[in-house]
Amino acid sequence: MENTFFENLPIPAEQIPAIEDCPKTPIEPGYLKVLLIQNFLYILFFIGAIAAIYFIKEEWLNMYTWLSFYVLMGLIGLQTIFIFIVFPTRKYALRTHDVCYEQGKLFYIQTIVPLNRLQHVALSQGPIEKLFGLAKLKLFTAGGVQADLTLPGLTYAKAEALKEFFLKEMQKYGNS
Amino acid sequence: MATPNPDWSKPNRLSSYAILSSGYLFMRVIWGFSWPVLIVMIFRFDFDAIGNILLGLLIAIILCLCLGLLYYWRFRFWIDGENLVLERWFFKLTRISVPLSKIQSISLNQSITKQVFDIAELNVDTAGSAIAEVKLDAIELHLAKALQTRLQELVQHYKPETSEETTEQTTDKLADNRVLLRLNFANLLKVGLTENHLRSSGIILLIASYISQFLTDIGLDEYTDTQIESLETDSSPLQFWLVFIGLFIGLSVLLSLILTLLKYWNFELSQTKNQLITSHGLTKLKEVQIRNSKIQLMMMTSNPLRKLLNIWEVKFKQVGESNSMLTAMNIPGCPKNLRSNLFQLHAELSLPENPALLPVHNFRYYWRWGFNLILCAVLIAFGILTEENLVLGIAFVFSLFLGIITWRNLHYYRLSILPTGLLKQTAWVEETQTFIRYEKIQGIALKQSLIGKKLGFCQLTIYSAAGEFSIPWLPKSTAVHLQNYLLFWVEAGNKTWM
Repeated sequence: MENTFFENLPIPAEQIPAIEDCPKTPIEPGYLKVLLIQNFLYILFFIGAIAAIYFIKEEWLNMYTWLSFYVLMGLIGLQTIFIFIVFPTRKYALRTHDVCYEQGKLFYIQTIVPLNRLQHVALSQGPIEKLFGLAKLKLFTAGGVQADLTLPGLTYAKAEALKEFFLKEMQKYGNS
Repeated sequence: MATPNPDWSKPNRLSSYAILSSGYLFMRVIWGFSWPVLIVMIFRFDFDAIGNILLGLLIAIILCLCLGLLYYWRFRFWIDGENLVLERWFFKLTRISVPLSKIQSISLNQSITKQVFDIAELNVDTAGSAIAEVKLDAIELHLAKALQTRLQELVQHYKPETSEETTEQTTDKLADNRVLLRLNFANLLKVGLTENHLRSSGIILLIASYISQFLTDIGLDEYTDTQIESLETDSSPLQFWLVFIGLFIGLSVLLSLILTLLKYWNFELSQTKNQLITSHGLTKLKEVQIRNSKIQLMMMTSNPLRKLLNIWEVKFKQVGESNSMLTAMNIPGCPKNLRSNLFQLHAELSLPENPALLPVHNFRYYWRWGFNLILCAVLIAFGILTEENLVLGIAFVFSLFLGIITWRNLHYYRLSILPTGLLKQTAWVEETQTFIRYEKIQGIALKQSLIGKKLGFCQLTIYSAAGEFSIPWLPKSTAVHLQNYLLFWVEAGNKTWM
């Protein structure tokens, strides 16, 4: 074999940085209110729909309509319980070379995106988030929708600062 | 046809046949908007209104041809320095600039209608969701080939390791192509016969349901039912069902064979220094070119029958493969040694003969065997309760089949952590090996269900630009180690994924 300057030194497993050792930051507590208000709006929407049916065509309010309504209300109620259970598990961590987001109690998921794979970054703020001064940062990779990472419940200033940081990183790696 | 080298720096047009093809495209758009109305009109067909319907159709065709003419008139493409620029009109004028550095592959397709007009379709696939894919729908064949060659020459300049090479050197490399595989009729026969026939079985079932519906519509269903019943009474149920199943399998195999011949007719795989090229197709010619560095995922598939005949199917996946099949490079009927060579070319190491066994959580064994045993017991109990030998026989055969594929699944499930990437092997009826190079990883997710949390196993999902790659049933500690190890490779490596 041709002699080269190539070296392949062993790397001890304990020297590889471990994501589980990295302290994670919980998202802003205000985001819980955003999620609850969103759920409340769903409830209002369905109550509004039922009220509209009552005033426009009362005969449509049969057993099946009520059953569907109660099922929907039950599902929203269940979702509200899950919001409370899952909320404390929503955390993110920023490291020199990657960003991590984790959530879930029943179904835990931790997604890590290396910064050298970022394609673009989007900052979004819905009307309810605006009310609480929060924003959402979406990080896109070439890995498609599943691999994209969303950091919700950030203060607007923090989201802006993170966006700037990610953009600089992207420039560093020549991805922008 | 010999033509002087076109000047790609000036705006070029498509072939004039593009008026027809884009007219057809507009027809499809109109159909997309109006199909519910048209279907209602068909069901409420009135012979008195036939004149008006034909007039409406004529107006629609003329309108679409006018739009097609406008589309052709406003469609321009040229190479502007470092970009391939495309200007097109589709209800609004759009100009797309594709940086040559972002081009992943350039493929040339020619359907049977395009062959008649000597035109082709040139697809330029790019990386990243922000950049659109470029499609030159109807371009004269010689121009398509010239543009493909020119783009390849220019794209080569953006590959880091060849950036200092001159265009002349690159052209030499492109000219110097070596044929690696050519499939003759006998090879295609092998491929067709050993295909996964489930797809063709589905098509046959669909056709059968259409025929049955048609017979009901024209009132012949009672006659056919009587004929089938008389066949059933003339022979024993076992004989009848065996003939029926045999006929169904025979038709499925025949259909698979025909589809394989149509798709892979005249198949040729060739290699230049930097890329692989395939061309094939009877009714639709397809040419795909992939630069080695642009391959995101490599898949190698075989089944027991194919292994017996020493053939594998190799698939190279590129960016956007999950959304589009345009750039898929399929190599059917690939002998074992060529498969190993292709693996070596992509992975830069030898294909392990027997990959390391994946350390999976024991619950996977209990789950697979437990679930399948319960399923088999239910089927056999059903067979006993019905007191039908045929049902019992089917239940036994199915249970045996399930047992074999469960054993295969557990036995062949392997994972190798190689110096340049990960190799995963899975098996049901088919055996699949998937390889991903470390630098092609876009993101990693660790997923754990409630039961996984209780028992200590989870799933690692690796995202690439050509789709995802999942490793389920990993003990939590193994998954976490692997996750950190993969991140280290992606973040510390200096190789680009594009």
